[in-house]
Parts: sequence; structure tokens; C-alpha cells
Amino acid sequence: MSRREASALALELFDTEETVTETTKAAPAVPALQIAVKLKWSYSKRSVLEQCPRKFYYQYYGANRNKAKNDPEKQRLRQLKLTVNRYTRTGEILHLVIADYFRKAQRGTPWERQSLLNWGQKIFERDLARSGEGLDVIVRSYQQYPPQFLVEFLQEADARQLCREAATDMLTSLETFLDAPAFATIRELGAQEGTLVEKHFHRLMGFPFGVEGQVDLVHCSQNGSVTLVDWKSGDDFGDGDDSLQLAVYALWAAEEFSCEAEAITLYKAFMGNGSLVEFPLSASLLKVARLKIFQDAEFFARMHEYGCAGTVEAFTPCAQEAVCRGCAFATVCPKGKESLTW
Amino acid sequence: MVETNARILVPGKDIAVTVCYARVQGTMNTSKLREKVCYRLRKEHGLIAVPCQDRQEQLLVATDQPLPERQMIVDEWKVSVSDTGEVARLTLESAEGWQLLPELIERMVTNAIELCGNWWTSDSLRHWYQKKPFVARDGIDALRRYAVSALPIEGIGIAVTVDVETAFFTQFTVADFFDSHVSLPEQRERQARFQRLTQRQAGHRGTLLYNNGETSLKCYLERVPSGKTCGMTVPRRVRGKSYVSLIDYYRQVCPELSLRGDDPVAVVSFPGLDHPQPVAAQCLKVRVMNALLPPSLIHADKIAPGERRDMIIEFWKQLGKAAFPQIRSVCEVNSGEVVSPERPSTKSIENPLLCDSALPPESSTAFLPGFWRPDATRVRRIAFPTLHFGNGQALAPPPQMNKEAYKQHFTRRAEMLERGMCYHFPPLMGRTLVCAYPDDRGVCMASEEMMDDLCKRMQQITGNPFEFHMDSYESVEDALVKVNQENYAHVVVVNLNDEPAAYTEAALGLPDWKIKRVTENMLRRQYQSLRTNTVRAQGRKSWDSFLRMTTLDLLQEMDGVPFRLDKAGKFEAQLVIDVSYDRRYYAQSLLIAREREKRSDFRVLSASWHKPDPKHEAINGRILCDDIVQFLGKVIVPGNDMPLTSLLIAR
Repeated sequence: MSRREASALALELFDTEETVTETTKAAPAVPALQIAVKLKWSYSKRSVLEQCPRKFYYQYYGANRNKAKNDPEKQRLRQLKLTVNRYTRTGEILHLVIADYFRKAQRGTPWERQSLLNWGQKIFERDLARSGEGLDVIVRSYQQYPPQFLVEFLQEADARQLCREAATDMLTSLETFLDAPAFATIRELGAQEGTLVEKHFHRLMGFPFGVEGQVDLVHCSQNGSVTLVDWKSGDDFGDGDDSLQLAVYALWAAEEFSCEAEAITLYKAFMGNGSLVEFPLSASLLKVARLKIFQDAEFFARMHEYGCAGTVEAFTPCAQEAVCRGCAFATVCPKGKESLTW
Repeated sequence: MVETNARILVPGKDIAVTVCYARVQGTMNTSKLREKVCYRLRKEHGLIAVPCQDRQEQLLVATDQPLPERQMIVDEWKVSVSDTGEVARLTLESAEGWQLLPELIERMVTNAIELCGNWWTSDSLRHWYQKKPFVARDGIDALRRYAVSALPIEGIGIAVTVDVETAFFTQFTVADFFDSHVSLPEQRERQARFQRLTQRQAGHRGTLLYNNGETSLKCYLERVPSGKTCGMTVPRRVRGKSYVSLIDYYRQVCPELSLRGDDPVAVVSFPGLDHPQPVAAQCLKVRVMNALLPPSLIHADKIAPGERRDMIIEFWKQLGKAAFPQIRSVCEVNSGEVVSPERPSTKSIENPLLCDSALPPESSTAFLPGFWRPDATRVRRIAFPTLHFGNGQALAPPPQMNKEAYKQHFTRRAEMLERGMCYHFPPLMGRTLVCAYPDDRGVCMASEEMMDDLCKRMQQITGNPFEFHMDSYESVEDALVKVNQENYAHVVVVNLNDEPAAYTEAALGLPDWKIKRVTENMLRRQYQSLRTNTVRAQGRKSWDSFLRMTTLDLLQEMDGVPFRLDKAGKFEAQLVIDVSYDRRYYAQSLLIAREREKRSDFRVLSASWHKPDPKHEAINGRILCDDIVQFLGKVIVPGNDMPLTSLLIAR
């Protein structure tokens, strides 16, 4: 497939806002450009597909109102999409609390240490309370920090205990963020006016489709050097292969600040052990990242029509117990059910 | 008479094993966990078991004794294994026996191999390595590896096969490659060698062997964090036990390694584990792939049939007396007597012409004598077809079925091609080749010589003159710009440098070109062999072979057909499917060979696809089905080509 074809096909991939012309056959040769959609690529979507194709289907097609309309599990999937596992949720809360810490510091009204910790804990307590009420009462909420339903309450007999352990780890990580000497410079940078916090981007030059991402902290100094920070909730031995994710951040920074890769410093801040690790960037790494995204375009385009048609069997379940046990859709997935105890 | 590498277990086709069904219960109960329970039963209690296929949560255990209830912790989950009270006799007569008996037997045999202690294994109980290398050159150890499997043979019994393979490992550990105590030039040299052997520059992670003195496991390198040592790492939890650091783990679990707190750490991924793990770099060696072997070891994995047979016999000799008391014959089990299975008379088994003189007598109580030699009714020879070349020329099959006649046939085939008898070459195909090569004097010379020779060979084969044009490049991106400016050609030979995404970049950047890729590493190696080999004839032979294969590949890229056959068996077309080593891609290759009056009468085509489920070896059925239909639809166009009446699909 040529780059042009890949780009064209990519126009109909990646999940979109709302309006999609649904195809009626599983593998029709519909020219990609005939389906007009807004495009988005993101590392998280790529990761879901890499982790489990069936989960990818449930999340981006089965649970999407406008796609796979004939899926018999539609209602259930839409409900399950609103649930989240304890690790993802505590990670979200960590990011949320840290972002607010910096925003308040930049406004000159910094958080008190204990208040910040209490706030993080309170958000999770609300999640626990909501989860205890059962999934059937869950509805989509438009509040600023709506409580989430924790998927463990559907899967584990000792869900509350497991979630509380996760909450303890989260608070430890938050304390590490506040206290670790290695993060002192980052805390100072984040408190400076002009430093961008949770900077979201939707497009990158050179891609005919949207490329979406969110950088946790971005600081551009007067001499033109750019510092990016990505918070990691684990330690520096437990992370996966995130080089593509970080390279995409660097691609955005190079475009946003009109600088070369050499002017960008990217740090991974591990809240598990309080270490700050520089991620080595190079022009060739960025080139590889670009190519990988284009390759993804081919790949996603291939699966898109199956997804829109609701051809669920084209998405193989990963059947890996470690993945299934944290998956929101495990109670619907035939392989996921095998991994669960009732 | 054909002799196989298989040995048939006594008593032959009447083999039977008494089994009991055991129930596995626990909070977690997956197929993976049940497989681990089988492993634990074998290691801790000497019981051979396999998971049942049709009964979830049950195992088949090869025993005629009641099974006491056992509790165990597997992957930190409590599991209980209890006897269901159900006993069965597994024979080859039932579907369950046909499927599970070979599995049980294979586990019995591999258990015997493990107990023997003469070999070690890493990621599979089917592969057993010799303890010492049979040759070591240029810092690389070559070890023989024995692949063991069991399979049912109708009317014969269960065959146990052993084959000999070769594996290569560096003598240096990862710690040696990244030793910071040696001089800077030496550090650079070692790390460059490491990159070369693992192909990390080219985007590979590098396959490693982790050996902690107790077990050996395959893993992949993630990174070697600078300055990290075993003493510095954070607390770890391994098999349900906590350790304050990595060195704490090694001191408690593998004290014989005598590791120190300041020993360096490498982060590796183990198959089946979600997250990378830190391990002592000293416990890691690099698995060297055959394509990266130095010239001194290139032929180390070539084993002549006679030598291979001797090695297998030696393996059985070393294994010594293997006894499998669980195995009975159908009659004995029926009569209820517990006696050892009788060897059938030689008349009752196929082929009494045995070759047991070379095999150890000790093992012949468990196995029928000798290697299995199937009788004539079971042996099929795939006959050589008549090959048709251009100008109506044909090459008949070899007159005899022996090595010399085969060799002559292949020589004659090459000669006919070189005399311009190519079956078909598209008349409108361009005859100018562009060669893009990394800007380096050595590569330039090698590339020019390669292109000059390729053009001559293409001319010989097709009868048409070819010319070439050279483009040097600094980066692959630069090469793509230059090649795209060449308006008069559309066939390119790209000598890929070691940029990680060079292969993909060429594919995406040259969508309308026919590309033949040659890696810089391969070109350098072949050219170096040609120029420096002490035995000049060997270097020339290797270079010629490299060019011959490259020419044929180029010819196919350019839609040429060197020769054809009338038909390939009973089917009009054959479709072969294969999955890439990393399970991320798969390919289909189609051969159509049918009557000339049918259009298209002869075609060879290949295509590859992204495989969406890299965690599984199997290809998603729905996607495969659609891809086959789509692929065939492009080859056989309705209204233009006659439909295929038969198709053989092989996976």
C-alpha cells in the first residue's frame, strides 16, 4: 500500500466524533475517502489494540453509539465503558491532583500538603462509594470530577480491599511526588508561570489524520530549550515500551516550539521510587515514530471496517488472564469470562 | 527403504495408559494455570499429567493409583487438585486418546530426559541443549540442540522423534559487553559488537539466554540502565516472596552465583510476563541468529545425514534405560493384570528389517528395536516435474533417484536459465536498475560489482540488455528523494543501511517502485568473503550463490517467470500461508499451475498483511478467510480468467 493510500485509508480509521456511515458488510472494498470522518490517532488507542484486539472492538466500536449498531451487547458495552480498573483510576487521580497542584502554584495559591493528599483520597473514596451502589445505577455524568465505577466490583470478591490497597499506593506515590529530591527542579519548573500543564494536542504536521496526545508538563526556557515531563506511577523497571508515546510528545514539541530534537529534553518521572530518568531523543527516533504511526494507519484501516460492521469475531480476544482481570469488558468477552470467578 | 528418526514405543499400536481424572479448583482457574499445575505435579510428585481438552477444570493423570488431594500455590493463587474417582484407559482407538496419548508420552519422555541430567533446556521441554559447545570460534559457542516430540502413527503406535539442531550463544555475558572498567575504545568496540549481534540498531530487541544457575530462560533485552546495580534496585516480589533488592534475591535463591551488590543490571522481557524485569547482566548471554554468524561458523549447523543419524543414536545412548511403567498394552489392561508390556514379535510390527545394532539395548525395553522404517505402502516420493523454459525448451526429471542425478538436474536447470531460456519476462518491463547504497567507499565498490554482475545475469536469463545507475545516500530519506527523481526507471535495488526503520521507510517512500532489498551487512559479508577468503574458490562460490539468488528474486520482483511446471499435483493452485517470527505479519503465496488453455495458466504471487493479534500464533479465522478471498480475487479476475476448480491451502 502506498503512503497516499495509507493516508487515505487512515481518513476513516481511528475512532471519530459521531457521524459515521456504517458499512453493512465485513470486508467491503469501500474507498476510504468516501467515508468522511474526523481522524484521531493516540498512543492509548494503539496500546489497547496491541494489548487485546477484542477489547479494542468493545471500547471503540461495540460501545460507540454510532458504530457497530447491530451489536446485541450494545447497551451493556456502553455501560461497561464507563467503568475503570483500580490501576487506571489511581493513575488518573494522580495526574489530576498533580496538574491541579501546578495550576494553583502558578496562580500563587499553592495547595497545602495534607489538603492535597486528602483531596486525592476523597476522589477515590467517592469512587468506592459509587461502585458499591452497583453498575446498574451508573449514568454518564457531566460533573467536573465525576465518581467512577471500579471494575473490580464486578470481578473480585475482595474488591474493596484490593481498591484500598491501590489507594494506599496512590497516596504513597503522591507523597513521593511532593517529597522526592529528584523532583525538586520539576516542581519548581511546574510552578513557574507559562509552564504548560496537561497540554493536549490534536494534530501534527505531516499527518493527514489527527494525532492526539497530552503532555503532563511542558516548560520552554528563554534560551529555547524545551523540557517535557511524563509522570509514571510505577518505578523505572516496571514500565513498558513507551518510546513511541514519548517520541510523539517530542514531535509535537518540535513543531510547537520550532526546535530540533536536540533542544528537547524529555523526562520520565517515576513516582514509584522517586527517580527522574531522561529519555534519550534523537532525530532518527522521531523518524521511526512517524513511520510507526503511518504503519498504524494501515493497520487500523484494516480493522476499521470490521469494527463498523460489528464483526466482533475479527477481533481476537487476547486470553491473557492478567489483561482480562483488569478489563472493563471481561464480563462480556467469552475469554474474559474464563479468567473471572463468580 | 526409508529410515525415519522415530522410535516406536512398546507395545506398538496396542499402547494403553491408565489415567485418572483430577479436578483443579481455585479462585483462579485458567488453562495456563492448569498447565502449571501439570508442571508442578511432575516436578514435585513425579506424576505425568495433561489438561483435558473437553472437560474444563480437569486434568488427566497417568496413574492407576488413587490421587490424594493436594494443595498448592501457583502464581500466588491457592489451588487444590483432587481425584474425581473416574479412571479410564487411554488408547489410540478413541479420539481423546489419539489426541492426548502422544502428549502424555511426550511428557514422560521429556521427564526422563530431564532426570537423566545430560542436557539443559530453556523455554521449551521439547528442546534440549548439550552442556558443552562442540565448537567455539570468534567468541561464539555452538551447541547442539535436540528437538523431541511424540506423534501417533495409524496402525503403528506412538513414535518418539529426535532431531538435531544447532544454537549459538556469545561467550561474553551482557555484563562483559557493557563493562565500564575496560578502556574507552574497548568499551565502544564491545558495545558495537553487541549491537551487531543483537541487531538492536535495526530495531530488534535481541534474544538473550538468562541463566541463574538453576534454570535457563529465553528473554529479550529492553535496556541496560547506566549505573544501575543489583544492590540499588527497589524491593522485588518473586514467586510470592519479597526481597529488599535484586542482590537480596540472588543471595537467597542463587547463592552459588556469588553476585555482588555492584554487579550491573539489565532490564529484560520474559515471554508471558507483562512487565520487563531487572536481572543481573552477568546471567545473560546473547543468542546469535544464524544470519549474523561469523564466516568461521557459517557451516557449523550443516549436518550430513549420516552424521545426524550418529548424533541421534548417541543421544539415545546417553539417555540410557528409559522406563515408562505407566504404559501397558490394551490386552493387559483389559485382563486387569499389571505386568510390563510385552514386545510384539517382529512380525507384528511393520518392517522387520531393523537397525538396532547401533541403538543402545538398554532403551529397547521401552521402544521397539531400531528406528521406524515405514513399509512401501506408506512411502510416497514427490516426483520431479518436467520444467518448461522459454523457446519451447524443457528439462526432464532426473533419470534416477539418487544424489548425483539430482545434482546434475539442478546444474542443468541453472545452465538453461543462464542460456537465456527464461520462460517469460514482461516485454514492457523496464531494463534500467537503480541501486541506492550508503555513502561508503567499501559499500560502493561492493554495490558496483554486485550490480554489474546482476545486470549480466539478468541479460543472460532474459536475453535482454540491462543497465544500472548508482545513487549514493547519506540516509534512507535522502535515498528516497534521489530514487524518486529517477524518471526512467522503476526497479530499485536498495542496499539498506542499519537505520532502524529502513525497510519500512523504503516501502512507504517508494510506493510505485519494485524494490529488491539487500542489507548492507549481508553485502559487506559476501564481498569480504569474496576478497579475503583464504580459499579463493570458496569466497567466489559464496558470492556467486548470493548473486544467483538475488537475481532470481529480482526476476520475480519484475514479474518474470524463470521456468514453469505443468501441474503441481492434483490441484490447480496451491496457497501457502505463513506467520512471521514476531507474529505481527503473515503472508500468502500462491502458485497456479494448470492447463495452458486456461487463463491464467501459470502464476506465482506473494502478499503480506499486518496480523492484528501478535499474541497468538494462529491467524484470526475471519480475517484470514476474507484475505484469502480478496487475494484470490485480485489474481483470478472474473470475466478475464477462468475460475480455479481446485485449490490446496497449506498452513
